[in-house]
Amino acid sequence: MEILINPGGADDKKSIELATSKGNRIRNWQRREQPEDALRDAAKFATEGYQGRKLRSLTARYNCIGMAFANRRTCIEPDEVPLILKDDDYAEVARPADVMEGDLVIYEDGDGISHVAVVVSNEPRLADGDSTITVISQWGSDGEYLHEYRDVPLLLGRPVRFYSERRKI
Amino acid sequence: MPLADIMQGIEQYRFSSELNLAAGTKAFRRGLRGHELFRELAERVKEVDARVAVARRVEELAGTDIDARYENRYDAALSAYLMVLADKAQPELIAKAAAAAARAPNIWWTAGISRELITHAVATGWAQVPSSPRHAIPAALASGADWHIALRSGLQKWWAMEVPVSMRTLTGNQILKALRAAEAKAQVPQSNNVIVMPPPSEEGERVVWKARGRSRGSARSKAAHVATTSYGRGRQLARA
Repeated sequence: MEILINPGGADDKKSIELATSKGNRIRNWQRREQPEDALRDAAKFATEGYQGRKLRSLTARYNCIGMAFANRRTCIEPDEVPLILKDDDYAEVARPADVMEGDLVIYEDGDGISHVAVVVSNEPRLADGDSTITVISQWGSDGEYLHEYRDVPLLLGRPVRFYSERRKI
Repeated sequence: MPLADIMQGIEQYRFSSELNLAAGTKAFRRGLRGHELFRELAERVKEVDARVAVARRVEELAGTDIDARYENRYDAALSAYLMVLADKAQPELIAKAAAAAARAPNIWWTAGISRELITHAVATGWAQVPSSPRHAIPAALASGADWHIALRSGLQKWWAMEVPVSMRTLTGNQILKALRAAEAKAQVPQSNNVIVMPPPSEEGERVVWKARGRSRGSARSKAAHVATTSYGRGRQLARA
């Protein structure tokens, strides 16, 4: 019999061994796949009418945080993100112009962190001094998309910070 | 919109697709509450007949055969039905629906919602421990032991786990809500079953359980009390 409390913990059969670089366990759950019809409908819902969104992969096995921190193996609740950022020595990148490929975009809604995306390109725009930042992220359990970092469904929140684990010598 | 049409909409893939965009539980529930179909359903279930129909539908969906390789296609719908009942229905009906939903195979969001509702129902005395294997009730509870003792046993095991303090506190707060609700419903435990749960230290020290009577008077232990219940005078309840 499963345990009532601490789902996603070490005793949860649906979780995998996953820890931060400092050894703190990251709660996680592996979801089952969605029926094919459901995935098709999800992709249609996410991309129809949005030319800038490009589907990369269609699976429900992981969420955005599992994509960014667990190599697409499992789902991680957004509540775990502060611990991961701290333990893995991520630092905030203040200016969008300084963001590089591989850096992270953190999204928030009224309840805190709601989404994470990985930067795949950052092209400065001379015209207005801003940047065109393209990211890749898993949208809930509805597939993985390439998109402009601000172009996300309302439920994913809005981008608020950039983080990087880059080291320099 | 008639109730049947609302429910049909909620059980379609599109409803699920919209809500499955959520990365986590909080966003899912916020999305659910903000969804037009959910709001319409919430209006409808102000009537008793509608609540009964929704509860009946939960039982039907929970018993529907699904392809075992995949997640339950009615997961979002079951979650919507449970949440709307949780908001509007009587505790007995909520407990019954939650126990039925928990028996549905391959559920995801519904598992968390039904777990909370069942915990609440057990804590408030509105439900017996369900027989669903999906729900993780400490073995002592399932065998009919006093739920206070079983809960304490489960909590001790939980506190001993190596999980960050913040997570335990979060879940602890959910448990405290259930205990607080139990108190409000006058499901007052026997005086020798008082639960005293000191908060963890920053260093993650293990919790030591003490009977309330023995620790009364100590300023340190008073500060450590996060949930206490007692008969008669001065029922106390404080947050960690």
